[in-house]
Amino acid sequence: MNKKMSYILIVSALLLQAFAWVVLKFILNYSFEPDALLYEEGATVMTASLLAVFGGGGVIMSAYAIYLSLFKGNWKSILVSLLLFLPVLFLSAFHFIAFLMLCAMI
Amino acid sequence: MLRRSLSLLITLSIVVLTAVFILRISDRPFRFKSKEKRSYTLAAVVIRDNVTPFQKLGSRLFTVPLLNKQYDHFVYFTQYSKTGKEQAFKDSLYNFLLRYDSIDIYLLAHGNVFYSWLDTFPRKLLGKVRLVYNTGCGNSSQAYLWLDIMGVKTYVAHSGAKSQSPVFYFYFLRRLVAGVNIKDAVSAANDKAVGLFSIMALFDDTYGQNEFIEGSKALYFVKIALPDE
Repeated sequence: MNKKMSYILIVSALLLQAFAWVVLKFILNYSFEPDALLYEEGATVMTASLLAVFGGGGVIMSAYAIYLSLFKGNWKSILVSLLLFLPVLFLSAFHFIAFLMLCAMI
Repeated sequence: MLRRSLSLLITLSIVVLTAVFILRISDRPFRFKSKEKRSYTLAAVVIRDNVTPFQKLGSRLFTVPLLNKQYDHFVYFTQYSKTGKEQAFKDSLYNFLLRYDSIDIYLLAHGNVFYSWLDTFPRKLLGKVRLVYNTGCGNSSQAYLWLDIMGVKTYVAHSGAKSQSPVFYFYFLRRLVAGVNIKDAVSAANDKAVGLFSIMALFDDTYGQNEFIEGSKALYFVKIALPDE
């Protein structure tokens, strides 16, 4: 597996999670005002978008990393990529499925 | 290392297996029935109590898209004080009772006495209420009030002093909206919730306690119509 690509994928996946954490933190501390319907709608859209981006993006990145290690890497890189990216894949898939359920798509 | 097609196949298999595993431990996908196929009109009134912003957002995020799929019309209220939205709730419910064949009421609140808001409603009108689902801890004790005094057809609630009703509600609403009848939806949601508790019991003993499990299960109460009613 291309080492540079591996670094890029890991950093991107971590940045994606950091971004999700910051936005979730904002939503957790969010204060609803009685007539702030627009804010509620905004928070709803933001949470759904976050889950879609974090989940969908994470699935694509971790799947691509696993694919690269299988196709171009050696046994060592396959093991490393599975150890690193399988947890990310599970977390990302969980977020993406949560997004689909929240949008009542499945 | 491996051939391109084989690498692709293994990767896709891993992704699919991951998704299947997550769906297995959460909930299966549903094909939601179209509301146009129903022979009667159905509306819903939902109220969420004054909890943390995150809980309010979560309840709303989960509930609204599902209600959109099943109900001809619904209103979703979020309280910002203990008695907030009383008039709006009553006005909407009264309006729906006049306009629609059947009404569902969802009380997404900790132990509550929302029945007291409806004591001026005509009993005959409240007879159009198909379901009252109450998440409140210990609110199964209100079954007599809702069914016999208020006259609603079905009441679903929890008996536990600290029931995990949100877990039940997740499985219940998805099934109800998918077209499963209320009794079967309650039964299936109870089974799914207990299944999840058994997994959580591996990390926390509380979830394995019989009192906790029984208290978190929803109880299904139905009004028995007498000949002179």
